[in-house]
Amino acid sequence: MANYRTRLYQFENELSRDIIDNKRLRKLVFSGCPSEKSVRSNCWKVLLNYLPLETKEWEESLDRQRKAYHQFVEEMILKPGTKKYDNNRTDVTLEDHPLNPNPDSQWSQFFRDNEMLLQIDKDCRRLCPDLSFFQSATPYPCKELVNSDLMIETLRRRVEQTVLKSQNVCKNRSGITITDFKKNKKTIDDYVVLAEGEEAHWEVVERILFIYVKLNPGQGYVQGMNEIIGPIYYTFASDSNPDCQAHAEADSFWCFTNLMSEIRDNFIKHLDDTVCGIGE
Amino acid sequence: MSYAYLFKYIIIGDTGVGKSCLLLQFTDKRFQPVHDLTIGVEFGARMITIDGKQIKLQIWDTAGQESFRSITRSYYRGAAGALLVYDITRRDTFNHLTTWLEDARQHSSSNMVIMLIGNKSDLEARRDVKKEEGEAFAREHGLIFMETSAKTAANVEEAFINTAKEIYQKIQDGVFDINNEANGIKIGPQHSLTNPGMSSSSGGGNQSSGCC
Repeated sequence: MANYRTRLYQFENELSRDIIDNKRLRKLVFSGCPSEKSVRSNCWKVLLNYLPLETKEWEESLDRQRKAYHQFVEEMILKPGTKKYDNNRTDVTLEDHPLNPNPDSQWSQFFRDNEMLLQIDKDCRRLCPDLSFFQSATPYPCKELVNSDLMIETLRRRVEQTVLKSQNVCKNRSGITITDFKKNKKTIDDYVVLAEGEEAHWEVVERILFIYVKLNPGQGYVQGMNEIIGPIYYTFASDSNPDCQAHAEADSFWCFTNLMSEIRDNFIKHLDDTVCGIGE
Repeated sequence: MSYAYLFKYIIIGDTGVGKSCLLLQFTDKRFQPVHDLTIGVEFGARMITIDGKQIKLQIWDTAGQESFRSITRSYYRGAAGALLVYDITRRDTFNHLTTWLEDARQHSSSNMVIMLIGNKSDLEARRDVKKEEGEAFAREHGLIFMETSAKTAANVEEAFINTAKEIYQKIQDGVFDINNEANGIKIGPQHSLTNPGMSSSSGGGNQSSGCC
């Protein structure tokens, strides 16, 4: 126990310097990183180049990057989601409609996104199934999204609708024209996870991945990314510091982005079966 | 497909200077007059031949908009070459080069080869930046320079290939440590002894264009 206290002290000492000695911190972290007093969260943020080595700049840096992430949420999820409800009628115009075969059609982009979202959704629902954490509600959901007055189309709702749609197609193929209400009902039940106004931790991870993929279209989503971001998000969202918890989403996004810059080649589909990617 | 080396590139520069069009012309040999605004970072790849060796280029095409800068920065790391593009008909895109260069130098490996490109050379009548100015800027900052047109394809091949030649030369000179992947270079299967089965296919087609 005395040993542990000394170690904790060493960490705290290193993290409170004006300029952190990266080498020394790496050495310390190499043999384990205490989770107490935000040590683990802060070490990870520094080592993933999210926090600068100059501790005085932490506050400004965090503020800037958290705001930038929130702007992405606004542009990629909130704005498109609101438009759909506001312009319900004008959206389906002669120029653009859901069956428009033009690759530039906003609808075809919407459907492509949905396909990607379905894959992310499947992987996030069963993220770290041995932890109940990801199934539980986060105390810090995305306020704009869970506030039902605004009627923004959440990712969850998008997935539900897409799932129902694909079931209809299946039925047509097998030639059954009567809708199987029981089956439909079950699907809806499966997807009602939490009460209105609540958001599970896995949904937050899903949103991070969705935004990451929208911003990195050349890379795309590859299964396994969920396993990379899972521990990062868990560490920040279960930190003892409420500020760290509250911004776990944005912080995880940036840490994940930085980590991916190092291990990107393993996640590029084009590189599968080459020396650089997976499968060689 | 077998290759000797893989080089990673990044294309940077202000929004609307023609970064995505340059890439499309290089990988697909076509021009798209109205290109969608790039969001985040796109990807392209092509095989080229230098000194009789097959080299695979893996190219990251970034969004020029300021709001994506933090995302595009995560692609500087591990890039062996950068194409820094401005539009010869818009002086402001030329004026921003210093900022781009600082950003690139700060976030990339110090050996990264940077090619300065003045794009839209087909629009001579609307020229706003003289060729000499581009040359002077390149000389001053130690860059290679070229004027290109993604529309007519003038110098597009050359821009990508000359950058690769420069990187290749640096490898020959021992400037790049090819075992350090942070430099944006990987050795292909031909060169690794653990892959005897691959060498037989290396003498095959010598296509200049062949995407992965």
